[in-house]
Amino acid sequence: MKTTTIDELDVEALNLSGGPTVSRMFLPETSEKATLISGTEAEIADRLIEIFKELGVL
Amino acid sequence: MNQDIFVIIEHLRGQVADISFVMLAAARGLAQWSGGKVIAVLLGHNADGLSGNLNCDQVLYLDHPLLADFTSDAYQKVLFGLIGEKQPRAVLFGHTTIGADVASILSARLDLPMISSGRTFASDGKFTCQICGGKIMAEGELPGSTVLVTMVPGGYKPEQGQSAQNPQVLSLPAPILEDLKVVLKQYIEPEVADIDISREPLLISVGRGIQTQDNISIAEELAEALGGVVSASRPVIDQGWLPTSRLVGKSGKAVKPKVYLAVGISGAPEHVEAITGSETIIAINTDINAPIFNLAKYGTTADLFDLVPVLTQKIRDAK
Repeated sequence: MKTTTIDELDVEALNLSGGPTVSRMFLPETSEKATLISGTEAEIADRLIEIFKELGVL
Repeated sequence: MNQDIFVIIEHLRGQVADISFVMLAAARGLAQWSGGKVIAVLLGHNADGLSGNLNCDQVLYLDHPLLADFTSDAYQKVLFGLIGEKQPRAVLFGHTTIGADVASILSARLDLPMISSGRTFASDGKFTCQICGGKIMAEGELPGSTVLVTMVPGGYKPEQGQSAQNPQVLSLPAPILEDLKVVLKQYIEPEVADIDISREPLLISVGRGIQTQDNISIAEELAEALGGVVSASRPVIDQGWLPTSRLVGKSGKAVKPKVYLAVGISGAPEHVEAITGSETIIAINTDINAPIFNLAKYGTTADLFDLVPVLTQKIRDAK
């Protein structure tokens, strides 16, 4: 036999005044930051190798 | 309430943490909006020399032997009195183990609103913060009272918070701290590392996306082909798949390699803070919304398990 009781709380009892207000939510703008490399795995690998060479680590 | 912006300076073992400079840069814009000053709050013992390159209008320095090393108890006591008395427009903390600890408790004790994971402030005072580990951003208005904000890295460069000019330093008496419940007894240095990843020019760093310990070998083979070293984010270290000496992050090492190749790393704030000094970050992650792409110069959403073996083989063939 279930004996647990569930209490109901009045939401209005919460005082949410004085806090920050959120006007909008959005996904991070990623395209302006990282240059995305697309293509097949082989094409992406070739581009990464070019980048490694440009950066002097290969 | 006055219109000044307080920045709680984080420092460890005589070094000001980069997040402190990030916060000073953020505070400058916010102070222009509020019409107040940027005030750096420095707690420590014989630590006033750390104020030298802080880009601020004034440093409030509180010296006490029990502030030589961070304890939440001591910081709470000092800041509770200081913020309560000065009532600045905003107080910025690092979104770090130190800042999140102290700010949340002060928010409750002082009954002040708090914004977590703040990233930037606009010229009209609007804040942007990140939620869900940076996968979603929220923009909003600051509340009218003094507000506490924990700041994540990424919105400003640490250099923006540095200055060649010494700021004015105002020493304030610290409150009585002798009844602290927690005091630091000993600072335990990390074990001697097999490799010092903070000195390596090329890091292939793996995160949760690597999935299993066996898959670490994929990164090790790439590192061997490239002449780099494998490092990792917190989830990989917590699993025991790599030694703690390879941990990149707030609780590990900050790194400044020539190239940081992030493989299957989402870019949690604690990790991002430790890689901002990298010259070039390249990210491999199937999640286009992963925060690591906000920081990386190059990125691809290819599956690492498909891409990395091909890349390794092509590098071997090219040699």
